[in-house]
Amino acid sequence: MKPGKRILGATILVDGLAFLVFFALAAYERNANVIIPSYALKWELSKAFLDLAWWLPALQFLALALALGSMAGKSESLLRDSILPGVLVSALLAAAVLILAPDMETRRYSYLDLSGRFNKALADTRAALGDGRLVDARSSYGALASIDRLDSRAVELETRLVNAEIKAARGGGPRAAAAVAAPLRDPKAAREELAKAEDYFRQRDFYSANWHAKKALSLEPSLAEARVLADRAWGEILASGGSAADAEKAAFFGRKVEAFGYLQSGDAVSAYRLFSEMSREKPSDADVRRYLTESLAALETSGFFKDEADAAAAARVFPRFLILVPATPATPATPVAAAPQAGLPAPRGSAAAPASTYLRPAAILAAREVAFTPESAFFFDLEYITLGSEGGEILHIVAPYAKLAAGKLFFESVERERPETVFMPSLASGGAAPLFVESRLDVLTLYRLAAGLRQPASSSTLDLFQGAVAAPRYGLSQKPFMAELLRRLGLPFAIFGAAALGTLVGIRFRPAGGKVAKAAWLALPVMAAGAAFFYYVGEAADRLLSDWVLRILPGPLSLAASAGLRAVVLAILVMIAASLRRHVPEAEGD
Amino acid sequence: MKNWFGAAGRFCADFLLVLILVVAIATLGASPAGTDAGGLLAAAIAAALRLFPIAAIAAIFLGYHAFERRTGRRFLSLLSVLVLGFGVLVGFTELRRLDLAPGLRYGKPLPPYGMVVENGTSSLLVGHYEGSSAVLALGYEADAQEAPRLFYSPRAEYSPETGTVRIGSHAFKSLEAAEPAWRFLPSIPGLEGRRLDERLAGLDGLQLPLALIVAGGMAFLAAGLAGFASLPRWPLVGFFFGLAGVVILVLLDAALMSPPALLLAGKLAAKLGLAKVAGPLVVACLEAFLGLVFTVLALVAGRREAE
Repeated sequence: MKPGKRILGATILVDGLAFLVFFALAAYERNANVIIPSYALKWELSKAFLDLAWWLPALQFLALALALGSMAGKSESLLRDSILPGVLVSALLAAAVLILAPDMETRRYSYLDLSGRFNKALADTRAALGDGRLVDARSSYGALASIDRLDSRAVELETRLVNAEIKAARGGGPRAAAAVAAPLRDPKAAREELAKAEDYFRQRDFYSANWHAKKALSLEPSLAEARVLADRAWGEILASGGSAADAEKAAFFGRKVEAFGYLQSGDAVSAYRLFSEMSREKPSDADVRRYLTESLAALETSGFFKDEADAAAAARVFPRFLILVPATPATPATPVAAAPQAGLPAPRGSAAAPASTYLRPAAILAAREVAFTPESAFFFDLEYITLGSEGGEILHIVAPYAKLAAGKLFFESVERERPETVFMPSLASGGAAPLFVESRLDVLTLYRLAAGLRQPASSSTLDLFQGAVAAPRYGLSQKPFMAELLRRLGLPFAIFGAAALGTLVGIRFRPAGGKVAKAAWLALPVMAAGAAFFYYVGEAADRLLSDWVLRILPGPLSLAASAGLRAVVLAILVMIAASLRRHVPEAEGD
Repeated sequence: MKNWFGAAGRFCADFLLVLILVVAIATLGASPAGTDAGGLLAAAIAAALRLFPIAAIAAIFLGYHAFERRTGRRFLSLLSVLVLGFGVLVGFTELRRLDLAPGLRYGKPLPPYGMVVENGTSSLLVGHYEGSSAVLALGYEADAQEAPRLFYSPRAEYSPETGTVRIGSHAFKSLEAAEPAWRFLPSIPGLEGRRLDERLAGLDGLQLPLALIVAGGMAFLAAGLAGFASLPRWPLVGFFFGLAGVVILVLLDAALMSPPALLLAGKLAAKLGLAKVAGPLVVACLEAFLGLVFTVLALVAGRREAE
């Protein structure tokens, strides 16, 4: 058999066996309490692949040593014939790992994360059900069911939950329905409503006058004028022949007016909430249908649905996100020598700007978690501080949910199925906050930063590089990006180096006559353990080397420095491999 | 004779190469950011005096092949690596007693600026430091129960002594949490790499004859295993046996010298009426006995066909 075929066969055999071993180990390692059954096989496969990828240099070393170490022939010709197939196989393996590993890492993490969320939701549902908190139980069950509705534990809980809800409904107990919050007292708004009511009254629009007067009363119950005006308007309605049915119509009409008013004033969330309620009551009402659609469209430009954020988070979420929002997103750092207290110096080692220049952040953004869709970024427990030109704090906005899309950061969100539940932003100092701000933040850049910081192994190489370049401008360290890039850069070198050494060892330690006894193959596990140890030391040395290169050159220059160092090591290994011909007796030739 | 000296030179070169590699990895891995050249040198000397047995074991395994190839005599090869290995072990054990390693003094690292520094669940970003001020400081406490979790000050109080930045009533650390101390040997449940250090530290107080016996036991076992590893007819298997042998020997030695094993050895010696014999001596004798067994096996086994 030619060396090329033998190398390919040995590689497939060794890697295949190793994958089976890693799969078995993953199956053994998998904790049924952590990974839910529906993700078990997928998690095991992705874990086995990632383990295989990590140990690939050691396996390549073993495969080539075995392939060439069991061949007869002159060492010179063996070496010559094995170089091209060895390089090709190594290149293919390196490329496959570099392309597939980030996706596999994403999957592995996702299965783990989703299982964790499922288990937490399971525990929360059980606890809430046990305490009789059916609203909470239903909410937690929703999260549970969105991950795996068919899990036997989810099915069992759903049965219990439904039974408890039926029982509670019969007994008048708590139900899984949200209560509408009573409006707060607001004398100023009440005066405005009263003025509107008086206007409508003068225009002889008694329905609107009555409704606005009542609205004023609800905002300020002590407003006697509003009570009088509401009674007068109602009297006019009755005097014109109104009935109880008319009263219902009037109330419905009033709500339409209110919702329309919200829509006109730009409060699309409130408009959507009211029109949704009315749509359920009178789905055929033409006005309601029309303005529900319009409020929905308006909502997309001033707020968002919370379930969008939940759906994004269910796919993948990154914890603890803290960045500076640069004032100018696409231009180099602006020198601000006169007011250093207002800016940030470029981080040490950064190629973005010399140390004497400063970046001026326009704002600071922090979120407990962040999730992404292709067009949007969703923040959970967001805080946003806008800064003045001298670095002083202008606004400190706090929002339970926020969305970044189309150059705007939206702070207001609403539950799609329960429009009465609205999540409003507020100021940290108290008071009303703007519902959105203009922002030049770019979703893709934020994704690169979040993924590169928290799960660098799952980012594509291009994303990592671009994230590393962008990181200093957002006040982030380049280290996690560069460390992962250096690790990936090291993989091809490690595979090629291992292949060169495997060739060396294989040709150097061939048996006399080129015949290998069958019993010798029983030593394969020991040989694999030896190769693993050899790689373990080499990998530790490489990791430390990368770490020190990063300490000295924290920026992208470290890639060039590291590549140079590794190329030197690889060249030395190849030279050693080439020199081995002298040590092999040629008498055993074929 | 020329061949023997050539092989002996190869043994010394292998020992130094492995020692340099091991010391470099251990030193670079354990030195925190901000360590200067003096600190690195001190750490390297300490690592060399701690990890030399690994280099000695590796040199015995590698050297055995060199001796066998150059001299063609198995007994001579075994004897040579045993003597050379013993010499290196004794020499470095004596160097340990001289207390050469200067105290490890790592420079205090400067706090990074212009980038987020994470410490547990809290994060800090400082524009730059000016004496006891942190200019443009923002801190974030991700796990706080309620907002605000984000704290900002154009100029916050910085304490260089404690390395903390105080924004209002909230204190943030200016340095990242130190990573756990890096260990050269992997941690295996119940058998951590640290044991090798402890074993040597335990030998520091022994009298010279006892230290020599302990070193001899280890050298004997290494030489025996090296000879045994070269037995397979397929040299490639022997090569991998050699690699595995180094690992097995390091782990075996660490296990045998661990406190529970030493206690057991002491009890065993007491039962045999040798209560006055120290635990390390019993273990050294056990290692030497195992080494003798492997040596005899290597010698009586049929000579491998020439490559």
